[in-house]
Amino acid sequence: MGTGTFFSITGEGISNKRKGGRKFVMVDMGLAVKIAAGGFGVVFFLLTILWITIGLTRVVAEKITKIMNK
Amino acid sequence: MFGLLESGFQFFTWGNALMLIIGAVLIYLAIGRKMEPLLLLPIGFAIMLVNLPIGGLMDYEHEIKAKKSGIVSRISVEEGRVFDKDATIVQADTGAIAAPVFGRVKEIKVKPGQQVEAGDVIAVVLTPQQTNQAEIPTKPIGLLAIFFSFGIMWQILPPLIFLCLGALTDFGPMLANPKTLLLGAAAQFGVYFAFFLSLLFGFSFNEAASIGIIGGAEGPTTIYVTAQLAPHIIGATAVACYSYMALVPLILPPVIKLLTTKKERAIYMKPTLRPVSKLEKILFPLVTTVIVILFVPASAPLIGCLMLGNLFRESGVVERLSSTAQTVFIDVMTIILTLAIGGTMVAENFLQVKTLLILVLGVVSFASAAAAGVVLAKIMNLFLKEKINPMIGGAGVSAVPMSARVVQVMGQQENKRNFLLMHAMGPNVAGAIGAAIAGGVFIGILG
Repeated sequence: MGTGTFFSITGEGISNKRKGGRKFVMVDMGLAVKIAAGGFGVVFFLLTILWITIGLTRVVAEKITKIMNK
Repeated sequence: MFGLLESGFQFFTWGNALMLIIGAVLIYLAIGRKMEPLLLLPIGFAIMLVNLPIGGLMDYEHEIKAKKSGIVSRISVEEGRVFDKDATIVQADTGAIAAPVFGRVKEIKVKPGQQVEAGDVIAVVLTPQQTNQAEIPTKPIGLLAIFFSFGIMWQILPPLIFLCLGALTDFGPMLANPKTLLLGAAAQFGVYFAFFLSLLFGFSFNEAASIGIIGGAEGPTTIYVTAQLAPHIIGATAVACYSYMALVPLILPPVIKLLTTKKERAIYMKPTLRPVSKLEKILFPLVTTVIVILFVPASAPLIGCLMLGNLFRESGVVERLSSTAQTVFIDVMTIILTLAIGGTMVAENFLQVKTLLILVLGVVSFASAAAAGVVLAKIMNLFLKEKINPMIGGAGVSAVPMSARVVQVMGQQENKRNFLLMHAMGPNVAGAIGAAIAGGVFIGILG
């Protein structure tokens, strides 16, 4: 994914040029997409792992319960 | 002699008046409409307190130092007087010595004609402005400033409140139907969507992350992340988060109705869930702590405290600790936290275009979180034999238990046989874990 840039309109924030009364800000779109997609991916991945883990935990809990009840 | 010149009247601005009205509105919502009264009442009152000038409750002390040697020619702002940010406090022959913050002068340490060296303290000022401590060091003096500095900036209160939330939370519905974790995960899409949108509106990465995390619908997580990444907007993000949590009954239904058909909303889910053993409930916080923190170490304070609180609840052997966490302790923490948050909302801090944008982006974050949860539920139904009611995806917005209750009410309206509350609690509490992980990811990348 390339490090693209994007000019966005802002009411506040850092400006590096003025054009026709509006301020434009350079946003590193590549980094933004990486953080957003990567962050969401990590959350989704982790909760999927937890889903699988909960299933395994249930199996382990049942086995421990069986052993303790013997 | 005491008169109006020593009172707050001379410093009272239209901004202060507007903030008093905002504080009163929050108090009305709390008392009159019973919307999140535990949170909005103290926040609203604190807003009123700090917008009564020279009360000093949110004051930080800052020493203005000379950058160059020179001779003082004139004192531009006298002791006790108010000044704007970047105003000249003292004029020297080598240039103006300006204040990097707004506030009022506590003490002038120099006199006209005095020689000063670089690094000498020229004046001590009081300001309610949140500053980057590395650039503009301040010392908390006011009561609410002390609450904020040591409770929030030292990251004490949010994790402790999470511990109490863990003691209050029953993860049983989620454990009974663990695929609802995916719905909680999907809801975090709102966080990253709002993060991306915020960047397009010109916010910095740290500010955008603090705005995005509003969509996690967890007040302590929002405060925890914002305190570390963008403390100067903590008032706006916290109020947005808590307000929208109270407004979930207004935000959720239109989003759900837009994305589902009547037939889908009427999908029946059996009211009974698989029984979850006590051992499972004990193992869950242990396993979750290990796995999540190994992957996202920055989430350790939040996830660790959440799971410790849950272990207090589920172990059954520390009833006193669990009971204290669920009652007195969380109440004490809530009082201090909400007063500190309300204290940041001084007119000069809060009344900016940025604040309005934050409030708008916050509701976008909430709405897109709900939408993502509903959409994933519909996608899951393509593969599931036993269909899930897609409305429970909307409960991934983890305003626990409000979102689940809204889904329950909507479910009953579509199908009187449907009791969706416990099914919706699954994604609801899963969203709390997801929000904490999302917060940890932001801090890990941007902190």
